[in-house]
Amino acid sequence: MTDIFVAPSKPKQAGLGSSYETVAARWGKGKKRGSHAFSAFCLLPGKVRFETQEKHEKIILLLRQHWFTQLKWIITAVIMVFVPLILTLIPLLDFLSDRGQLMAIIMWYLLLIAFVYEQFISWYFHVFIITDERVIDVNFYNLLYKEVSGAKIDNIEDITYRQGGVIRALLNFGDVNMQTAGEKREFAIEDVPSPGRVVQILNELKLEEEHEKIIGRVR
Amino acid sequence: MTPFDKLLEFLVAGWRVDVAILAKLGVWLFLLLYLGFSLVVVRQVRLMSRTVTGFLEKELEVLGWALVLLAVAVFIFSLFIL
Repeated sequence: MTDIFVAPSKPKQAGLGSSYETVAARWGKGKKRGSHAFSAFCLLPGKVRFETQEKHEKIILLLRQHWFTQLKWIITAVIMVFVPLILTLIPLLDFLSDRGQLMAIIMWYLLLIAFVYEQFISWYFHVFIITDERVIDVNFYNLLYKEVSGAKIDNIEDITYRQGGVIRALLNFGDVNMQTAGEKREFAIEDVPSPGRVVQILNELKLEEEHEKIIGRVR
Repeated sequence: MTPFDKLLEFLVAGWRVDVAILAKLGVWLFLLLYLGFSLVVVRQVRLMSRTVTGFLEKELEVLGWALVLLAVAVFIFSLFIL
């Protein structure tokens, strides 16, 4: 039997039962994803995993401190490379034999290598990870001291970002502060690139968590 | 005179220890400590890589072992050169 009347289809509105596009899917569409190894702002880094990551937990953003914050040790290292050249002008080690002077220079460069390596891995492994469930701060203060703190996106109440000063404004990096309802009341992500985008992603993740609560898909 | 100067004077005059030998011992001690430090670095890089895996774990571990080899090589070199 043919239909007598077919109602025109209304455009679906976002709400209960309709398909919801996750933050990962939305940011993954047509945007530059992943990044190179030294990047401080990695959106959807596919290869990255962390220690306490759950099976279905997806990493949305991997952040490191902006390269400008590392300039102090980089400049120190560059100066240290050229310090032995001063010995050709100022004979500081003349009291040593030729072999002794050679050993002294070798030891100087060994110290330099250790300094650069330690500073680099401290920067490289100090990461802020934003997943679809949590925000995690992995901090290696030095080679022997590690701190991993996290906050559930659910528990984040307020998010603010601060970007003060000429350098920070020009290079677009700053701090993101979060007020949480968890045990750790304040959670800060410091000196990260594009703090505005970070806040935008966090707000979207908060909405996604609220949506998941409504449709009953809480993890 | 500082206590360290007094100690040096005692070692040199009392035990007739050459300052050069003391300097060599100091260099070897530094290089042994450096070797220990490089081994700690390799272990810590491995621990750090377990915490966050991503892009450069293998390369950083190779660099760590290269540092250990360098420390050993310099120590052996110092045994001949000093």
